[in-house]
Amino acid sequence: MKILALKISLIAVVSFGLQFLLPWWIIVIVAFAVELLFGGQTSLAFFSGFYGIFIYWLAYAAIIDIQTGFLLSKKIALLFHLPQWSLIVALVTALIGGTVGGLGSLTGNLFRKMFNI
Amino acid sequence: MKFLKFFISLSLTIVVVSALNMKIAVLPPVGKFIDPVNGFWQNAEKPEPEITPELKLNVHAASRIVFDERLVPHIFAENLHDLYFLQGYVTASNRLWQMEFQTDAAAGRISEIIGAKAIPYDREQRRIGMLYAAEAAVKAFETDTLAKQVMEAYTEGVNVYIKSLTEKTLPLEYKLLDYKPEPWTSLKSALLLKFMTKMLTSNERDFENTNMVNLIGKEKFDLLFPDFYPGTDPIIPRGTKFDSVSVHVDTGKVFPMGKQTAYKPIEQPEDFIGSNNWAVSGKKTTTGKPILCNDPHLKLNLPSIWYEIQLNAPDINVYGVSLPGAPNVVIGFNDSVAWGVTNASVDVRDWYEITFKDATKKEYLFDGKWLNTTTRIEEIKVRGEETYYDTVFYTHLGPVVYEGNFNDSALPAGRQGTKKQNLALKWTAHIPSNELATFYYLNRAKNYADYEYALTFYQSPGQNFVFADAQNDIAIRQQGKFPARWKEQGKFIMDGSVKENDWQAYIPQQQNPHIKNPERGFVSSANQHPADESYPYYETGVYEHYRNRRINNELTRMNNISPDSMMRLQTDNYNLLAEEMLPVMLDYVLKNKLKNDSVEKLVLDVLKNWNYRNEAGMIGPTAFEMWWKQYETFIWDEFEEKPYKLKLPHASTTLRLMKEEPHNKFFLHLTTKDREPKNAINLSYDSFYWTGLQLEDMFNDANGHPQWGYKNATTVEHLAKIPAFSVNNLIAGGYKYAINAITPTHGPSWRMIVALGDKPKAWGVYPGGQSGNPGSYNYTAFVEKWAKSEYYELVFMSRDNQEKGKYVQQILPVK
Repeated sequence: MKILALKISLIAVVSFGLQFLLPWWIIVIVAFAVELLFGGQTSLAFFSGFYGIFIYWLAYAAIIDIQTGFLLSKKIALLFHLPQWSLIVALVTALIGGTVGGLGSLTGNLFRKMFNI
Repeated sequence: MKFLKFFISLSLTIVVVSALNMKIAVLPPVGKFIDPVNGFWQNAEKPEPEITPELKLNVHAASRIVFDERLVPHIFAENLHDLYFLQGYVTASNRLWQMEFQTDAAAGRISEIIGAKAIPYDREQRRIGMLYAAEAAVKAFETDTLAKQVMEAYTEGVNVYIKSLTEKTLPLEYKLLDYKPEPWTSLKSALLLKFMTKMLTSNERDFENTNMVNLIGKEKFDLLFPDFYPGTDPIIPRGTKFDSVSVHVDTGKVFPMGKQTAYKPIEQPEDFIGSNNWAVSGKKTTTGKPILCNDPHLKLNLPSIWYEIQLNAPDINVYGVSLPGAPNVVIGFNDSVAWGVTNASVDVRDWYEITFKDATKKEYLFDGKWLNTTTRIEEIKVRGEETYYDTVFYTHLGPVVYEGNFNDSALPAGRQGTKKQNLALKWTAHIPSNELATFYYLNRAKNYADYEYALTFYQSPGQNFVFADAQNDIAIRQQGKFPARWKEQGKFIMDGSVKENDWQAYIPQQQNPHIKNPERGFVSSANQHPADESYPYYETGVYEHYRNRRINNELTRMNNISPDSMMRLQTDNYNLLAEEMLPVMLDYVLKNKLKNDSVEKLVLDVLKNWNYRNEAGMIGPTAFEMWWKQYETFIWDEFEEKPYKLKLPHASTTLRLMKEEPHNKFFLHLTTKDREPKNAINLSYDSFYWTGLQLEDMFNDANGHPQWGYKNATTVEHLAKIPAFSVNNLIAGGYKYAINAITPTHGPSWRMIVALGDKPKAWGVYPGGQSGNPGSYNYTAFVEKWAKSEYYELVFMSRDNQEKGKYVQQILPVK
């Protein structure tokens, strides 16, 4: 469990740092690399990437949303035919980011497993 | 096995990431768009705007921009370059996407952004010569050194802003539509002006008139479509003496066409593109100095077509609204004068049938000779597909818009009674001109002479320029380049091979209708006839008949006029059409045998106490409008469902026939099922009863909403038609023929009242906000006040007084 928490934190922090310089999909590479480095159970591999990005993107989006009084996110919700609840778009943002991160970490884990490590 | 698992996971990851990184149908690249670090989240703004207190830009001297609490920028610069550089920079900072999208639309470049479905639209823009006209305009103002300097400085300001953009700071619509801004050029500014010109001069109805006259004959056409409506009150008061004709033209043949035209007309603006303006002399005001008012009516969009701004430099101190994409203030005031515009509505667009020598279209017939066409190949880039090439043939008259397969799907060929033609467009927009100079000089004008001088540069689109100054002069001039026509020339499609059908001359500028300090103590215009029948030139156009008479009646009656009374007049909802029409309609209803049931009683009750005002909460206006529209449909049913476009007679013509000839054959219904012949009297009852049934339904339905505010509910639509970024269902009252000309899509895009004096005081409002960012609290900040017919007091600063400023931005030169 401690390893999982470590992986999640690492993915979140490194992605946050790199995203200021690189396109959004760098999160996949980071999740891939962290799993590759640490390894672990494949059944948990998806979750390191998923939570890593989910938590970080949710926090970032939610902070912006609250500071800006939900003005734009409500319009975006309307645009994408989502219900007009506060923070729903932040949640969707985090889910999409998380899914992508999870796929990255899963792939990294399976790559490592190919070499029986 | 392990390799297979890895490979599947890898493939899935790549597919998902790729899908999230590309534009699919109307969706943006989703992953990129929702990314909190660089996506739409970064366009969300806090309630308090964040304005950098100091910027280093390419100015020659230290300058400042002071923003007031409504985010209007007040620019203080030391020289011409810096002034216009900063105007470009600050306008782009708030409205860049709008600037580019509007000019891309004008240039027929929407396919580049959204793909092949925009090709028909882009083809139309290219074929009517929008890009061609803008290119000619750029050449024209580059010969004027002053205009060139102004343009270059403005362009530089816009480009400095564009260069500063990163993935993160891109305006929202670029992220949504997945493209990036390109550098601004003076061609784009020219395109913007052509965009406005197209909006304001497309109101001819040559196709409809041609179709109608071929359907009913010239005599009936003249009866139904007179040149002057009864009771016309022209801009220049009746009785004003005009100089006699100084340019003579040879008469051509008005009506040679034998068949209706097969084509649908190109995009036409609604009949609501108009405006009001007026200026009242000091002898009628409480201040003893003039008050000037203007409210241009346009399609209501977000971001707003207008951007408020103040420009201050050693030779200029002007406040007003500007057009994002072009320098200067277009409608506004300075320390000494105020001015405003309404659309002249004069026809400056004619269609000519071209006779080509053969299928190559290399030559065409004119005055018995074969002349050469020139060819222009329009390159329409299409997102995700091959470039579309469209060949347009140009004659000396203009581009042959309808030719080949353009607008082909409009009608099946061989349809009885219609024909396909090659039609060329002659349009004053194609003539190179330098309108920039007009606004440059108006911005700096100190008196009537300066105003006159500024207008000498003005050609297109024709506008009625109202003027007032602190020395108590008021004036109005219809300025523009107008063809000198022979009687009825330009009403119908003409034969392009006949020399006399071409435009032989233009009305000399000094002979455009104008007046200064008239006896009656005010000048006004609301798109009506510029002059009465005694004006020596023939002018045709689509003219207004109700707003202008209401304005003139009120201004004649009023005295001790104050800014408050002008605000009430500018937002007046009085329905003059109803005043003239309803009594006749009611009178005729009562001439029928009544049923005395609840349906009849409902309509009579609703209308009985109506005061002819189209206020949001009233039901009378709904009942009248429904009744009148149904009555009109019954009367003119012979013009419905034709395979070619027609236009119905004007309401005043219908009214005249109703009153004077209620048994005219036009009132006969087409259906043979009627037990008795129809006339104005029983049709009035039929439409009255129909209205009662509709109203009953509305009252019985919980969501019925019979109040006028709901029927007339307005949408202020986002430029890319995105409902989430639009304001929908705005309840405001008003009526297309009332001074407060609010309709479901159009309305006063800017309302301005200026009281001149030692220091001018002004009030204004528009339905939008200074920020073009849907994520900003300033995007729709003014909408509510506009809907309530309220005004903001405009902050007119000076070098010594900037105390109402809220945010100050120092601009320092880059070392």
